[in-house]
Amino acid sequence: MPTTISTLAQQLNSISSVKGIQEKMFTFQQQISTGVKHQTFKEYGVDSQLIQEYRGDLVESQVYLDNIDIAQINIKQMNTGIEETIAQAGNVLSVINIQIEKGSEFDLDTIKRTAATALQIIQANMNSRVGDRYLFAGTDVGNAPYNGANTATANFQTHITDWLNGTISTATLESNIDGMTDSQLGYSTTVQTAKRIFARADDSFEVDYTVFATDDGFKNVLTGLNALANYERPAAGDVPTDDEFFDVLNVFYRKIQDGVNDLRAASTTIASGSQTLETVKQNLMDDRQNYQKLMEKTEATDITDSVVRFQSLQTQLEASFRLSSILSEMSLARFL
Amino acid sequence: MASVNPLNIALTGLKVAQSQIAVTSNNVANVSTEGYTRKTVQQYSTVLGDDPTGVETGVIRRTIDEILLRDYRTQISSTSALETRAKYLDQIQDFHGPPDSEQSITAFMDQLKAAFAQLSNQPESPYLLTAVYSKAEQLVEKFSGFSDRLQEMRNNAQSTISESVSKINTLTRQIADLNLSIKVATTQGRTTAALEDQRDEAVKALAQEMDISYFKTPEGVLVVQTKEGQALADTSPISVTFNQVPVGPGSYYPVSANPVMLGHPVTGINLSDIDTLGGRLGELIRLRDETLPTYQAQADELAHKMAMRFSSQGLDLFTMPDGTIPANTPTSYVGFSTDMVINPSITTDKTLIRKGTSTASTVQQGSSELLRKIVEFTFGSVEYQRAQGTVNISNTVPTLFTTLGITGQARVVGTTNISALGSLDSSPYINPPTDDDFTIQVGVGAPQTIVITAGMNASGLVSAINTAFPGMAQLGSGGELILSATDNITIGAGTLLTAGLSELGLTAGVTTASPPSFSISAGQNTPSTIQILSTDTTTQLLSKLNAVAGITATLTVGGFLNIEPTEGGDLSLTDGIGAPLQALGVTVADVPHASFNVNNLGPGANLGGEVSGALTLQNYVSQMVSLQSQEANNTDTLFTSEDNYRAVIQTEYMSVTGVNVDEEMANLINIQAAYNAASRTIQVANEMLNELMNTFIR
Repeated sequence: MPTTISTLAQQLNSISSVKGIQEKMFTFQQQISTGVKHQTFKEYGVDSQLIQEYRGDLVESQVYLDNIDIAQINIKQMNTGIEETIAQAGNVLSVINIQIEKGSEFDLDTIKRTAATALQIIQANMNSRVGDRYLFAGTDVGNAPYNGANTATANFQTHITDWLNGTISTATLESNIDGMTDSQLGYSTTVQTAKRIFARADDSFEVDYTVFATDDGFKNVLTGLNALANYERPAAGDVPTDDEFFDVLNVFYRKIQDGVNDLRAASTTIASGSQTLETVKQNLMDDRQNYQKLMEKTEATDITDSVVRFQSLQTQLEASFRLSSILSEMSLARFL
Repeated sequence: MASVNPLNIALTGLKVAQSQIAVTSNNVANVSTEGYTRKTVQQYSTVLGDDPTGVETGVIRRTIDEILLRDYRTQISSTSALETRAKYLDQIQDFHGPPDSEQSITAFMDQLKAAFAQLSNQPESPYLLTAVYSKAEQLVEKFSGFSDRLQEMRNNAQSTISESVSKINTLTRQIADLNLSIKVATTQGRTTAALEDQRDEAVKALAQEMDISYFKTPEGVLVVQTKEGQALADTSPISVTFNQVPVGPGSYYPVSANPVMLGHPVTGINLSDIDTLGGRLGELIRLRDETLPTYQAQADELAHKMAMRFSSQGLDLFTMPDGTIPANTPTSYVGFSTDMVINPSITTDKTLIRKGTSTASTVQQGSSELLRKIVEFTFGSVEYQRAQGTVNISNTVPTLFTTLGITGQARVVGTTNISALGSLDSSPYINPPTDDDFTIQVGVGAPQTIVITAGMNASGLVSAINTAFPGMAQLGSGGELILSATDNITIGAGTLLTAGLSELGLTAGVTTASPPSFSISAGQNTPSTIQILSTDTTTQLLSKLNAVAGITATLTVGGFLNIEPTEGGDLSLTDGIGAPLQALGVTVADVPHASFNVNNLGPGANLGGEVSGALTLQNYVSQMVSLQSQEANNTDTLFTSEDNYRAVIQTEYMSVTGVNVDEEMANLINIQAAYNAASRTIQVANEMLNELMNTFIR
């Protein structure tokens, strides 16, 4: 070390040390005001990759949580539609039971009226929507899956008329009605080519929550109710016997019953899907908390620590200024 | 003589003191002048014969430490280079933005993936479709912004190289001029201290521009050279030239970016080739030709692989303006991050994001088939799944039945729990030894009669059937009789007649054997069943497979069956009757994306991408940003360390060479005392002379 220090070197040293303290103070000031350790990726060094990954994970997990919420709203709405359909179908079955119990006072018109009312509700249920999305249309979300009520009515009426006038036998009536195509039943042509729909719950996991309006549940109930709504008791001069009338009624009854069972199965399936989504949701929420914690651990500043350090630097800076002042006064020139 | 001599001697003392005061006052005046070195006047005692004649001033000298000075200059060069580098790399950091502002390319990539994940959940949403387009557009802008920033920085570096070259030329000229003046002054015995101060300042400024070496000739000429020893200046300067032409992503040294030349602009020494050039100039050249092109190569690599990975799933989302994607040869996609746009077809019809750009097939509004592939495969590490067999079924082999040893399967399942019957003859319709038999025929083989003996139970019947047809019969979990064969099964009622047969849960007639089959589907498609008929050859199998939507089947060179999804994504295969997939030795494996190129990048195919081991797009981009950030961080750390060292050396150097006011004041007191003493001597001599004169007058 040199024995003497030049005045300029002393001044530069003093400036440099004050500058250094001020820079550190600025860093702490930023940390205190922003709550994060650093303002640039570079200051995080090797952790810069981690914080990008945590941030990406947070963005993604939030999207998947939103996706699950949306899917669960859809599933809930679908379940409501299914339950309402089951209730309506059950109501019709009850009315049939009541009328059959009445024996000679059996009233087909009551059954037909109830079936017609239920039919309208079920048709509306099949066309349930959330926003612009038809829930029972699979991927054909933009089109009502059921749009041919009049066509269906006409087709059923033709079958019934043919049966009444003896053009077709009771067995043929039953098989004809059983074998009606989706188009004859009034379904849109596009829903017939629709594919399944999925809720995306993770990068590599999706849950199928498809229930088509053309699935056996809705279709059987629709067929049974449509048949009932257009059913006629053979009058004098008609070919079918009263026994055949009740046989056919029984077939329609079973059709609706089968539909109800199928709908219950569909409801269980999507409820299970919803449950799976709920589990994934919980996992995602846990993951999010972990990411948040990890991110905070990496990025967040310890305010108390920063404040203490800032105050310590403040003292240091004041001391530096005082020292500079004393040093400038301690001059031989001044003394002389 | 004796009375005059002291006067003269004292006078020389006064003169020397005045010279010293002049030098000291100059020192004090320059106390805050950077580069000013403390001057001292040497003084010599003069004698004439044996008699002292006083004192005389020597030349004014500087107080310096050559070793410290050399270290200081080297350190200046080093910190200047690091400071330049840090400033440039900070511009990259500015581009990436604060981590919590989500402005980095990584954040934009994450947002695009998130937008796809949202759209795949609600594919029909026009809002989310627009959101995906918008995020893709922002990502494109981010890429081009990054690329533009890099080019701007490269061109700025070139402008600064021009400035640096101009400054070097000014400084070498100045050094040469000063060398000449010093040489002359030295020859004439004049002091050169002030000139040397000026020259030192020029050399120091030159050291900032480039790392230098130097030596001094006996005439005081400082010969300044590059670190490698190429002369820059002695008494005449050697000029440095640089012809600046704008650079773009495809420009690279030495083909399309100009060098910095020392001496002759064409035949001189190429300073750009000198790795150890150092200083600001050396760093600027490194930034222009190495660092920034490497960053450009990383961005191009990422942009290109991103475009490829989207395309592999059937969505050419990112393309050149003409809708194409450059080939996967590094030199083909140089500058792709600048040129990349959203496919013009998609800009015209945004629904292509949902439908894909490669097929004209109708995709319903709610279909997430393509979107799920984007989320899972484009952003994942796997491009697609491949099913490959291990059995040679080349077209030259006979039917697949013979090659693979597969058969069809007929299966008859009884409708009655015959275990529950106990003894079969408990049935009124089974009465050995008369009403006791039925026949089974397999294919066109001879019918075999199965006889039910007295007391025979269900297990006995199974044994009897298996004796005639080994392995054919078993009892199901419900106690029902199950018959299996590789060909049609024909049951004859025999003496049991229909009623007796019915007691066993069987019906007379033929049960046709189903051919071996398996199901296959790509992605979310409904599985298709592929049946292999007894006459089918490999050609027919391939034809059936290729008829399945989204499936491409081929034979490998070894004759193995190879099944892949036509446009990326996953495969689903399930073995069925006769287990033909097992016979083919088919297994499904993940096929990774084309890997990120790490070598031979850039327009000159001479750059390393530095990002290695990345499998996914997000992995690459986060590594890229991280590497660039770490490089900036390392530079900062190095700069801080080197600058601190420079400050230490500077302090030491200045301590030795600089002016200390207190020291000067102390010297001043000494000079003043000497001056007073000399003055007093003159006064005493004068008084003595007056006394003598007065004595004579009296």
